[in-house]
This record gives sequence, structure tokens and C-alpha cells, in this order.
Amino acid sequence: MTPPVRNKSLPDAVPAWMGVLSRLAVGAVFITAGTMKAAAPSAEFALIIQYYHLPFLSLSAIPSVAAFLPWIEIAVGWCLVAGYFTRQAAVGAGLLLLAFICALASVKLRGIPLPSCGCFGGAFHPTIAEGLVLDPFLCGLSFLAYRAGWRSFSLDQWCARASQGSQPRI
Amino acid sequence: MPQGVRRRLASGVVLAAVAVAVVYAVRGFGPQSPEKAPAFREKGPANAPVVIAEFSDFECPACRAAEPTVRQILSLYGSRVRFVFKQFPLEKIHPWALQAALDAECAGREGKFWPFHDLLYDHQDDWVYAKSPKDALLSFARKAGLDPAKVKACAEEPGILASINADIAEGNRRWVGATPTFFINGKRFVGMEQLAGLGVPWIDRILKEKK
Repeated sequence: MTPPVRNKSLPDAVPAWMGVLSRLAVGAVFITAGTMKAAAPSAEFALIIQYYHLPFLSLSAIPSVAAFLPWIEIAVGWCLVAGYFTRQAAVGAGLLLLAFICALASVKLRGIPLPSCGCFGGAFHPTIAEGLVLDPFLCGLSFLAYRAGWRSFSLDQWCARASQGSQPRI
Repeated sequence: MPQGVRRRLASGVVLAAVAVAVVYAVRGFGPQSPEKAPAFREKGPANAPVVIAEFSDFECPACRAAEPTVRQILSLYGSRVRFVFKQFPLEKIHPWALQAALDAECAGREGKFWPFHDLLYDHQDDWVYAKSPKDALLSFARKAGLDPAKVKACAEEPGILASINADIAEGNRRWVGATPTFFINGKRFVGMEQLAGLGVPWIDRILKEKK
């Protein structure tokens, strides 16, 4: 498996260091959010999802979502931090963040009074409005991570180097 | 296998192990304790196949909202259920919850825990929004057939507070983050909707399996 090859005819709009920092920032947030929710009993997170009153989620489906979603966040977070399948992880983070933004916006629009977005389980308690500021910002960082996150200090780079080294020289 | 693929596989395994280890380190490995409380805070036979423990706060509106469902469950399943009440006053958001819990413990000592408990939930707004919630609690103690002076003196005893603190510590160990939290034979249900929608089928399943 090799990381995507850069098209050298295009200028690098995003410097590698910015991609790495973005990757680390988004990854750290995802690891914290996922770990705090996965460590706590899933019924606690299920209650938070219930408060969102999402019409497409039945009460019986919520416990499964509450059990698995934090682990997806954790996987995406660790992949970003380590630079492992960086671009795929960045896309995953972006999609999750878009879903979170939609959920937060729908709560805001419907005027559901939630004291906290529940994004970080019991660790921190950002409000819905704070979540609506944080998530688009993280979405932007995910884009930077997608563009340039894999180039330095990443497992992708380390693995690619091994692949290139093992190729027979002519 | 090419070295690049080997590195990728090894990295994936290490990352997964680290992620799981971190979650378990944060979670801790607390032993599961049997549901225990002073006898006056328990209802139902000791050998009942279903044990429901509720971590509750007398000032919490969600606990009051769950109360009819709890009462329905207890009347529906009768002697097949043992109910254990655990004190979990959320002092930060409910300033009178601890006082209510202290008074309820004292009512329990006099054998009046359940009448006092029911009065506090049935008339929650009356004492929470009273001019002096502390005095209002004592007036409900009188209604429950208690001597308010005795309750007042008892609530100041350190042993009473210690009993409540033990429940709070247990709740914290078990990651109780909201009230009411119910444990039905160890399985957690948070809030009235989970109790009614998921807890009741869970009780039926336990009873079916134990038949």
C-alpha cells in the first residue's frame, strides 16, 4: 500500500507542517472524544443521542450507535495521529464532522434545550453553539490533513519508504 | 510479504492495541458489586430474580418523571422484583437535593422512608420552590408521620451523611453521570425512556430465562 503520489505539476498549496499539525489536532480531538465516551457506559452516551430526537434513529437502534460510534472516532483519531491511512482517516473525520454538524444544527433549529452537546461524554461540556463553531473548524483542519498530512512524520511515509526500498533495483 | 505491507500490518496491530489499552485504562477495572443499601431503602424479596437499583436525586425533575414508570413496574412484577434506592444527590445543580437525601435517611431510620420518598417526588415543586425548602422538607416529614425536630437533629449526624457519601462514591465508581440511572440485574438504563422502552423488555427477558 503506498500513499498517493503527488502531482508535481501542481504547486503544493498546503505546506507539510500544516498538514501534520492539522492531522494531530483533529486526531487528538477524536481520540479524546471517542475515548471518554467509550470508557463510560454506552447507556450514558445513548441518553445523549436520545436527547437529539433524531427522527431516523429508533430507540432500539440508539444503544448500538452509542456502543460503536465512539470506537469509530477512536479509530479515526489514532489513524490521524499516527499518520496511518491518513487520507482515508481525514475523509472519515470530515464525514463524521459533517454528520455531527447536521445533528447539532437540527437541534439548534428545532430549539431543543440541550445544556451540552455531549460530544466529549463526561469529560468536557461544550454547548451546542460551541460545537457548531468547533466542528466546522475541525472539518477545515481535516481537509488540510487530507491534502498534506501524510507527507511527514507519518506511518504512511514510513511504510512507503519500506516499499520503495524493497523494490528490485534495475 | 513485502516489507511495506509487513510494516503496515504491524502498525495497524500496534495502533489498535494502544487504542484499546487507553480506553480500558480510562475505564478502569472496577469489580461489580451486589446491589446493597440499608434495608429501609429496599423493597421486595431478597431472592427476587430481578434486582433494580436506582441512583436518584429527590430534586431532579427527570427522577420525578420516572417515578410513575417505576411504580408501575413494581406493581406489575410484584414479588419478582427487588428494588434498591441509592442516594445520588447532584448538589451542583440541585442545591436542596442533599438536604432531602439526609432527611430521607432519617425518615428511613424511623421506618418511614417510602412514605417520605413518595411525598417528596409527588410534591417536588412544592418544596423545591418553597421560600425555605429546608422547612418545607420538615413539613413533609410531619406529613409522613415523623417528628420534624427529630429529623432535623438526625440529619446533622455525621453517620447519615457518610451513608449518602458511600452511595455517591459507588455511583461515581460505576460511572453514574445522570439521574435517574437504573441497573437492572447489572444492566444500565439511564432515564425514564430507556427504563420504559428498553428496561421493561430486559426484565421480561430475565424472567423468561429464569423460568
